[in-house]
This record gives sequence, C-alpha cells and structure tokens, in this order.
Amino acid sequence: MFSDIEKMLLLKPVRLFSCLSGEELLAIAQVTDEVSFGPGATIFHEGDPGDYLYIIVRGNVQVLIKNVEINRLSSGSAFGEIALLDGAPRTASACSVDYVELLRISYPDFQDILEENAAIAKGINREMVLYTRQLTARLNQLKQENTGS
Amino acid sequence: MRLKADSAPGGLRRVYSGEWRIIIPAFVLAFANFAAFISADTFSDTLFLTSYPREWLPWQFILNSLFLAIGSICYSLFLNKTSLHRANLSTLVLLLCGFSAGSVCIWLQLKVPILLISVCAYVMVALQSVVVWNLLGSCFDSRQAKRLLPLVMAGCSMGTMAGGLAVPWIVSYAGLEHILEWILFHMWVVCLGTWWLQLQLPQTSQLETKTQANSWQHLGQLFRTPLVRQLLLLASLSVVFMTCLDYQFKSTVQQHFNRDGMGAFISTFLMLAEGASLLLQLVFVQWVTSRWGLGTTLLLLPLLTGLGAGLALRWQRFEMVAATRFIDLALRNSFQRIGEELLISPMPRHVSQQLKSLIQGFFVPCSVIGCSIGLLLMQQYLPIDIYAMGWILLLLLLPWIVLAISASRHYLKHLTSSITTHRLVLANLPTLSNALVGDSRPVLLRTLKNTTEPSEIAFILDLVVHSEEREDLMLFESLLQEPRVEIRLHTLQALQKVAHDQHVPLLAKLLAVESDFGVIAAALGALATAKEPPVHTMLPTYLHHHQPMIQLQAALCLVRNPNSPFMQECLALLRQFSQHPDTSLRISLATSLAFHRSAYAVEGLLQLLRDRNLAVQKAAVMSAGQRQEHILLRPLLSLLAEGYAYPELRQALSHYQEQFLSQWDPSKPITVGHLFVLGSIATPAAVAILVTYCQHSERLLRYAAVRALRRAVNLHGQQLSAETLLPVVRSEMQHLKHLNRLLAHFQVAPHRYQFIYQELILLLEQCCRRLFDLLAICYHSHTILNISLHYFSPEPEKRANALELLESQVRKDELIELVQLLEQRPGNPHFSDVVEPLWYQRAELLVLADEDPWLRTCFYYLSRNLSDVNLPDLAAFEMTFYQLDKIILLRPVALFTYLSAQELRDVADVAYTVAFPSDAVVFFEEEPGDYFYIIVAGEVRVMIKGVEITRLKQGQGFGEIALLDDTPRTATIVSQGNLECLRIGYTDFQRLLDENPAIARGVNRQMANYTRQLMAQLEAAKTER
Repeated sequence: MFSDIEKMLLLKPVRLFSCLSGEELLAIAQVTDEVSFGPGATIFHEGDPGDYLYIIVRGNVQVLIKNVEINRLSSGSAFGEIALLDGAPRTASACSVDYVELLRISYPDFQDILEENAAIAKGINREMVLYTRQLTARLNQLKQENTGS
Repeated sequence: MRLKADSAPGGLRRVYSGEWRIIIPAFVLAFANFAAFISADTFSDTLFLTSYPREWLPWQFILNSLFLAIGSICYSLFLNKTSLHRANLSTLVLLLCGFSAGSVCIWLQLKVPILLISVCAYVMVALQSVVVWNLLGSCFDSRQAKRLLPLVMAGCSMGTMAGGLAVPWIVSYAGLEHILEWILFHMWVVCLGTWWLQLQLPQTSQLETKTQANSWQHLGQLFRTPLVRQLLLLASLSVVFMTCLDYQFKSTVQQHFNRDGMGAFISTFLMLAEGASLLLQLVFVQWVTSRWGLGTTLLLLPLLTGLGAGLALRWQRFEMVAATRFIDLALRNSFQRIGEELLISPMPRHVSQQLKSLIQGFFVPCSVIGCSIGLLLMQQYLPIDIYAMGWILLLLLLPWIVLAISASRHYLKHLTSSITTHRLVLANLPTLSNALVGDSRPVLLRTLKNTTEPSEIAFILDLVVHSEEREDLMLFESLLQEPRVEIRLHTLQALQKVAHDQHVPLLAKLLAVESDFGVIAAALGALATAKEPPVHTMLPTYLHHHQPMIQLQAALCLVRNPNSPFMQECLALLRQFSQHPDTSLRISLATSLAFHRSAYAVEGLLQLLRDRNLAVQKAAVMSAGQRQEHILLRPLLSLLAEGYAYPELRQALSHYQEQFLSQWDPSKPITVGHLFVLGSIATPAAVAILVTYCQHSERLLRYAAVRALRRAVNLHGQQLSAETLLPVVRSEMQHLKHLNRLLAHFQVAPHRYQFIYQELILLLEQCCRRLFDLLAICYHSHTILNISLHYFSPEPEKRANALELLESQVRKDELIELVQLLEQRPGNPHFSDVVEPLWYQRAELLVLADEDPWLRTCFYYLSRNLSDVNLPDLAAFEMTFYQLDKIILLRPVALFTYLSAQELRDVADVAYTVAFPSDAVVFFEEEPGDYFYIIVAGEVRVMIKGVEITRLKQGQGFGEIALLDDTPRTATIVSQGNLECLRIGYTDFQRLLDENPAIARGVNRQMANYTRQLMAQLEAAKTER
C-alpha cells in the first residue's frame, strides 16, 4: 500500500499530469488503486474499452499489436493515458513480462474529478494542446521527409 | 526563429495600411542613423589614425567604450526611474546636447585641437548606437517590430550605402573635416525622427509602469541563471577577440594608407561589411541554424575568424588581415541579431531593454577597456609584433569554443524546459522519495538546491507539507534560511496550509532579517493565521509600507488583537482593500479570511462574496465554506439561486449540510447547483430528495439529479436499493422510446431539420448514459460502467457483446425490455422497421410539446415558415433567435462535439459577431492567437508566407486552438469580400472553463480524439517510409 506522497511521486512523471500542481495531484492520487499481475498475464486486450490508466511501479510490461510485440515498458512509465479522457477502445494489448505492480486510475472516477475541479481540467487541457502540437509537428516533418525521399 | 522577414501577404499597402505615420519616421530614422554611424566611425578613426602613432590605438578603444558606457548607463538609469516612454524622451535630450556640442565645433570652424573633434565624434557614435537602437527597439511591441523589420533593415542598408559612398566623395572634394557637417545633419534628422515617433506611439500602459519597479530584481534573478551568465561571458570574450582584431586591422591600415586614402578605404570597407552581414543574416545564418542548430552556428564565428587570423598572421599580408576583419564584422552583426532575437526578446520588454543596456553599458566597455589596457601593457613591456599577438588571439579561441558549446547546450535546455519542465526533479525522484520516507534532510535540501524551476520547488514543498516532515521544525528553519527567494517564499506558502503555532518564532526570526517584499508578505500571512494574536514590534510600521500586500497582511495581523490601538486604522485599511482595483490583493484577502479569527472576517467575506470578479468570488466562497458560520449561508444560497454552480460553491455549501437540508424548500425554483450540493452532502435525507428529482419533468434537472446521485454513491458510499430506483429507470425507458420514435421520423425529414436530428442523437446518447448510470447505482456494480464503455464503442460486435453482458447482469424480466430498447439505435439497418413510425405532423407536434424547452425552441426556430402548425408563444421560450443562430453555427465545430446543449449555450453567450471590410487582415501569421472565428457570411483566404493555401466559406471556423492556448498563429487570414464572423475570445473561454469544468471535460474528450487521429496518421506516415 502506497502513501499519498508516493502516489503523487509516481503520478508526477505521467505526461498527462505534467501541468498539475501538488494539490491537484493529491486529488488524483486519492482515487488511484493498486493491482498486481503474475508473469505472462494479460492486463488488457486490444479492443477492450479503455477503462484505466496504468502506471508501472515494479516490473516490465510488453505492448502487443496482433500478438506482435511493439514496445516494452519498465517501471515509471504509464500506458493508456488518452483512454482516461475518452474511454475509447484499446489499440494494443498489454501483457506482464514478470511480476508487475501497477497503479491505476479508472475512467469514471477521473471523469468525476475533471468535472469537480476546473484547475485539473484546464491543466490537462493545456497538456493535450501541447501534445497535439508536438504530434502535428512530427507528422509534418515525416510527411516532408517522405515527399523529399 | 525567424531572422528572415515575413513576406508581406497581399502587398505592402495592405500590411502597412494606416501605419504610415509610424513607418516613414522609422525608415528615416534607420537610414539617417546608419548614414551618420558609418560616417562618424570612419571620420573619427581616420582622424585618430592619421594624427597619432599606432601605439596610441588602445587609447582610442578606451575612449570609445567609455562614452558607450556613459550613454548606456544613463539610459539604464532613466529606464529604472521612469517609464520607457519618459526614458526615451530623456535620452533624446541627452542626444540633443551631444549634437549641440558638435555644432559648436563646426561653428568654431574647427579652431580646436584635433583630439577634441575626434572626441566629439566619439560621443556621437556612442550616443547614437546606444540611444537610437534602444529607442527603435523599445518603441514597438513585438508584433509591430516583426512587421517593421524589413523596412528598418532596408533603411539601415540604404543608410550604410549612403554613408559609405558619401565619405570618400567628401574626403576627395572638400576635405575630411567637412564630414562632420554631413554627420550632424543626419543626427538632427535622427533626433526629429525619434521625437516624432514618440509622439505617434500610444502612451505606456499602466501594466508596464507597474512591472518596471521590479526590473532590478528581475535583472538580479536573470544574472543568477547560468545561461545568462555564460552568455555574458561569451559576449565579453568575443568583444576582446574583436578588439584584438580591430587593433590588428587598424595598425595594418595605418601602415598602408595616407590620410585621405584611409578615410575612403575604411568607409568602403564598412559599407561592404554591413552589406555582407545583412546577406548573412538573411540567408547563411538562418540556413545553418535550421540545419545544424544554434551550437554549430555559435561555433562558426571563432572558427572562421580564427582560421582567417591564423592565415593572415602566417603570411602577414594586408589583404589577409582585411579579409579576417571583414568576416569578423559580417558574422558578428549576424550573431548579435541571433542573441537579441532568441534570448532577449522573449523576456518582458522592460527587462530586455535593461539587460541590453547593461550589456552595452557595462560588460562590453569593461572588456574593451581591459583588453586595451592589456594591449598597452604589452606594447610597453613586451617586444610584441603582430605575429606574437596572433598567437594570443588564437589562444583566446579556446575558451570561446568551450563557452559557445556550453551556452548552446544551456540554451536548448532553456527552450525545452517549458515542455519537459519536470526532468530535473524526475532525475532526483528516487532519492527524493527516500528522503521523504526516511529521515534524510540533507537529500531533500540538496534536491531543492539543484532545482531551478519554481513549479518544481512548489511541488517538492507541497510534498513536504503533506508528509511527516511537516512536524520537523529544524527542516523549516533551514528552509527559511535558504539564500534563494523562491525557496523561502514557497516554504511560507506551504506553511500557511499547515497553520501550526510552533512556526511562529521562526517567522519572527525571519521577519527580522528578511529584505524581499514577497517573503515578508507571506511571513505576515502565515503569522496572521496563528492561534494566538500575533505580537510583533514591527507590525505597526508595516502598516505604512509602500507594498500593498505587506500592508494588507500587517492589517490582518493587527486586527486580531481587539485592544490594539491600531484597530480603527486597520479596519479602514481592510475595507479599502476589499474594494482595491488589484484583483490579486482581493483574492489574497479572501483566502486569508478562511482561518482568520477576528470580528472583521465575516464582514469582509460578506462583501467579497458579492465581488464581480469570478476568481475573487471563488476564493471568498471557499473561505466561507471553511468558516461554516451561519450568517454566511444566505449569501452562498443566493449565489446558487442566481445560477452559479461551480464546484467550489458546491463544496462550500456541502460544509453546511444540516442548515442546507433544514432550509430546503421544494416549492422554490431549483437549479442544477442545488442538486449537486445535495450530491456532495450525500446523507440519506439528501439522497431521498435526489431520487424524487430523478423523475422531474425537466430533462436538465433530471440528469443533474442522476449525476449527483452517482457522486453520492461513488464517493460517499451511500447505499440505495434497486426497488427505489426501478421506477426512475422505467420512466427513463419511456423517454428513450419517445426519442427513438422521434429519431425514426427525423431520419427521413427534410434537410432543414438535420440540426434537430443531431440534437436528438445527442439526447439519445445522454439518455443511454443516464440509464447505465442508474443501473450501476441499482446494482452497485462497476462492471456496468465498463459495459457502457463497450456499448458506446463504434464497432457493432462490441455493442452486441455489451448488451449480452448487460442481460446476464440485470437478470430481471422487466429490464429485458430495456436491453431490447438499447439494441435499437438509429445507425442499425432495421431501425425504422422496429420503431413504430409516426405520421408527418405528429412528430412535429410531439417535438413542440416536448418537455425540453431547448428542443422546442430549436424546432420552432427551424420551422418558422411552417404555417399549418399552431406555434406557441415566443415569449414562453427562454432563448432569443439570435442566441439560437449562434448555437447552430457553433454546433458543427469539432472542439464542441461533446458539449451538451446547455454547455453550448454558455459558449454561445461569449460569442460575438464582428465584421471586416473586403481585403482586411483578420490576423497575421506569428501573432499571438486570441480569438476563434466562425464565418457567418463571406469568404476568407488562408495564406502561409504569402501563398494562398486554401479558402474557407460560410460555417467554417479557423483558429480553434487559440481558445486553449495563445501560441502564435500559423497562417494569415485575409477576408475576400465583406466578411461577418462570430468570434470567441481566449480569456472569455478560459473563464467559462473555470465556471463550468464540464465544458473542459468535453473539450478534453475531443482533444483525445484528435490525438488518436494524429497518432494513427503518424504511424501510417512511418510505415510509408
């Protein structure tokens, strides 16, 4: 069982929360819960509804699309961030590699927090705008390179 | 970074229309300035070089930089004392004095020693380079400056040409001394131009005069950052480098030319160097920077000039020395521009001006003088020749390169820090969490010391306050003795949240030695919330402090003591502050009153609760909630009745649960806010009231009740039996059936009812969500919420699965019908077969008789020309047609996809129409984004760098992202024919987000959607490669 402080420290690096202050993070830390999976367990399947954001506390997680591993995540990284905003279906599966401890936030809980706290909603808004700008810039760059070559 | 001027879209005339009164003097100023600069420089150099031997050259440098220093320091002092405007005018007077001295020289027909004339010329050069550039830089805001840049550059280069051509001509026909008259003529033009420009510009705003008082503090903070320190060192080193090269160049020139030839040569040389630097700025530097980054560009200067200097020294040829000097001059101008553009311009204007004049007035002259003294000493004591000096010069290169590398690295960090603000602490997170768990104060203090980002410091101290460490007095004592102001300030702010009495002695100790005003105010604030009335000898003197924040906090401290002789004075002061025009003061007053123990607290809060500024009101509401005094309940309730429903108000009212419930009167009109407060109170009595509202006839209230109910169940663990809610579910099912039938009709209705159809779809989705919410409450089941996520997914199989799952979950015969109902969706192929169709006018009548005024009004609006339907009275509706017009325009905007009709109505309230004439520029590329526009009538052209990309027509919007942040525009928009637009301002929209977080939630959902699309496109582009 983690204390609120430890949870806040775990939440801090998550990109979605990077514009939030300590107090706001505390509000989010209070709705998180902890789950653990044994080696080789499926955390979620491709196409499942996006119901949780997960943050890896301990262990490694592999991300698979159509049973092909595309990425491996280790402790400290988060996955399923955007699901917290729209609950849309998963675009990849996640499986544990070894014994994994995770911190998670559920979609409905988070939506309630967003509705109750304008500062959090605005902070996340700002982060999303930043993120889309970065994505657009990268996309344009890729497109240019594609047409160039 | 844009060193190249934006090409003007739509021709010069359109871009500069209406600004000729600024543009002409700016151009003339730039022209005359450069003509005078080049001529005066040449003139003084030639006079000096012909009259004195080579060994005296360093004296020239010293003299020159002394005047530069005096001019800059004067300007800087003026700037610190008064506003920009006045500083400019004062320096203008100084400039005039210098020129008058020059005029006197001419009048005396040059019957004075040649050194004096030369000195006069130096004064002019120094003054003009300090003053005129500062004036030009400070006159315009960044937006204007960007547009004026090409003109000013053109003026500069033409002035250079004029100076470069005029000097040889004057020298050969009239003699060197007559250049002085030519220079003076231009200087007077500069004066007039500056004066005229000052008259044309708007007066300095209030805000600026307010910020300028802190500019010394700002500068102090700036010098503490490693980036600025390195840059200053870099500038100083490069000035030394330049002085050495200059010495080398001038002494070589002196060997090769006679008096008249020298003037002509230097002026032509300067002209060419200026031209080359212009070209380099436009093409070369930008190209190199965009390709290899700033680090490479910064390294190029020493490498190129060093190479040239090395070659020149190897062969000791005059051409080589000249070429090296030429490259150095050309590149140096470009680099100066980079520095200003990239590093100084993002700072507040006042601070950047200060920094510039400080560099010019202190760092540059100091290094020139130091270098010159070095040269003088070398000449005296070392048998030095050009060859040996070259080696010294090359040795200088090494620190330059090291510094350039580290500065460019720092610069990059500075750039990315806004995006990845938290990297620094993240690196320390493991140690930090250890520090908080165990007793390792040193680790914590070290982490704090390594952190430069203020938000990081606040975060760490927040963590400290929430951990066990908050009991540790020693820790706070050492934190309060930290040399950095930010750490002390954030520590005090954190302490205010704890409000422990043990800290009071620490605060008194701090006040005795503290000099920073912000820290003093925060310490007094912490003192004011202590249990015992604070006693401190300094308090009465603080009442007359010139900082209002300190006055306020001191008054709050003193008012605690009822026997205080200052009571009346404090009360008067506090009453004054509760109406102070500065919002931040009112907010801090409202926040401080939350735990304040005095008779004034309630009086102050009662007044602040009626404040018209939302932020002040919110702070007062939160304080009122914390105080829980009966007298404060009534104003809170009246705010609620006025329709305010922001979360802070709900939280505050939920503190008054018993009084709130006892005053509950079902006969009075009820708002959504009332229901939410009930949800936050979440006692069985409150839940019982909520259940009755779940069947209310008005849709808005009904849904709010369900949401509040879900909150009560989720967060406060209230239990509800399925039986109490089943009637609610049943009535909601009836409603769903009703919506389905309407949808079946409007699916095939004429196009003008498309809007009604879309609204119905949204209502259907909301209705389904409420049903799932209700079921989840009935069965206390999280699974049902997950099922609902499946149900709303776009894939049909997922939906079918979800319904199967739901069927297995509910297991009640009467709810089987619900599952069947949910199966019918307007997208399904058999939808119109399953749903019983309605005949033509019946559907219209049903909509007109709908319980929801929103739907009724929409329909009425869209069917205005229907003559055979008996239309109800317009006055019965709550909306005007104008509002509806706006909503119908706003509905298709992607950003608002997930907003409900009610939320959209709030957005429409802040949307206003604006009209533009034909060919007007709505906004320019690179301007800060402040509005989102939707075209009501007309057409616009979207242009990037002067090239038309696309056209937008009626109903289309542009600049959506400007609502969420104010980053610069990426395109220019020009109207094509008369244009009418609906526009929403950034600040208005942000305020709306504050008032109603549900809007932010809807917007976030759309942003998530957009992000997903972008990510998919990115993947596709990657695989394409």
